[in-house]
Amino acid sequence: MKKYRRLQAALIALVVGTFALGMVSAVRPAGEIFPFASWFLFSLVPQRVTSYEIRVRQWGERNFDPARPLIQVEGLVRGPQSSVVYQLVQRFGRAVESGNIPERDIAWRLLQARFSSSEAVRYEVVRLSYDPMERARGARMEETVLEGVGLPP
Amino acid sequence: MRQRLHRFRKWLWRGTPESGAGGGFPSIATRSGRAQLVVRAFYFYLLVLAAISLPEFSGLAQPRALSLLWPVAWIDAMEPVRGLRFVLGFYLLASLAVALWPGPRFFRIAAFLGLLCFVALKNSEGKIGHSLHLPVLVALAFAFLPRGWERPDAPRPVRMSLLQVCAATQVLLLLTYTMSGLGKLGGGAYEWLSGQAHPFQIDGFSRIVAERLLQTNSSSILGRWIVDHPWLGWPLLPGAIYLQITAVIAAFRPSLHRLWGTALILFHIGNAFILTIYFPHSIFLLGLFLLASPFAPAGFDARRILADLPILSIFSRVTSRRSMVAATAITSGNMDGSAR
Repeated sequence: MKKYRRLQAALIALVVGTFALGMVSAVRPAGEIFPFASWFLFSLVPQRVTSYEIRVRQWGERNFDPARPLIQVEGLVRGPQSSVVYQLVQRFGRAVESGNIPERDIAWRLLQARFSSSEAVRYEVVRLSYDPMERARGARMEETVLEGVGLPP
Repeated sequence: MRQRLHRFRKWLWRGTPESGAGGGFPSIATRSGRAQLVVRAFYFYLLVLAAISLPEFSGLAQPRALSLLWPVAWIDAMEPVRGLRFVLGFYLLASLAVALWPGPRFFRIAAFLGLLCFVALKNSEGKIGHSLHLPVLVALAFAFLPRGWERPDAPRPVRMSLLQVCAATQVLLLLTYTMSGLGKLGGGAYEWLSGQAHPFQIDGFSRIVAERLLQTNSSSILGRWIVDHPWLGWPLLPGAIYLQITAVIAAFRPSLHRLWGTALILFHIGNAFILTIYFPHSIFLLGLFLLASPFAPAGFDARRILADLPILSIFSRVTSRRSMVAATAITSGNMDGSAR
């Protein structure tokens, strides 16, 4: 009986701990306490969105005019449609805009690790502002090219 | 306080044989037999998971820029390729060992650690994905299984402990959905109160779909359709919020296990068709722990399910009260008639 009670207490602690650590993960600036996620997935409806895009001007011998979004350049990135690539581009764009050089370098290295070739890439970082429903229906977005970047890595 | 706690427990466990609900529930021997099968199936699934991950091993073992999560942060302190190979080798061996011998706790802990490190490594590329979190949590919960759980002649205390671990795992699985639902409800309430677009307005879900498809430059079978016809997608999000928030309550009510399992599996299939988000491992675990729940009663008793539904059971109570009033009226009518 004692063993049974001890097991019961351990299991309650596991369930309560999973919930508590998940909630802490939601508010912790450093992010999730893996593997205890908050599970707050799609918890907000997108309003007017501000996001970043890397547009490739040149990759090796290939030139793109107009510059093409990174995830649309065939063969450049592994899993271009994955949310990992999207998140890394956002992280990179935020760092570029705020002038956070170390963070920018980390994000670029992580992104580069997903590149399928080591050829030089010329790119520009663009900040986009749009309403998702309007953009999905073909409306134009507000675009701002961020200065100071776009050199080969 | 104790009385309140007792009342809460009675409410939560409504519909279980322990609370005095009617028959149809399997005996303890049947439940523990099913639970043993569930545990074995889970460990076989871990081996399959390792086997289908084999093609990824060569890519994962490559030296590259990583943002290592804590379970694999030690790789930084050693020669990286050796560390990466050790993680993958350990994961494969531990998965094989636990599928063959799920009895000893040592192998179960090794399998948990192997899976934890493997999933951490996969998520060390700059963003944490969540499709493999549930198997890690289940492997952690199964580390608590009692000694001798796998024996067909296990004594009653061991069987009870096995069932306890299985029930806690079901709660753990469904708790993650409740947390997700709470996030959506909290976020939605905040957006509603601050006058922004929110999940309960007609195009709430369509906005989420549109943004997701734009982010990943992808198209889905139903996504475009939902964006073009927001009113058709409208009930899906509030429906998903109800399903998710109440999921943990369903864990305590065996009559709801199969219903919630089915509904959550459909939710994941819908996400794949609409949002291009795939959670195949969650689908398997929902099938294993809820569709094949050791606690679920035999057959399909719609009245019991209706009475156990979280929040919505109020309709069942109103209906049964109406039928009771009608029955009383008929009885009293008959009595009146007989009196005359």
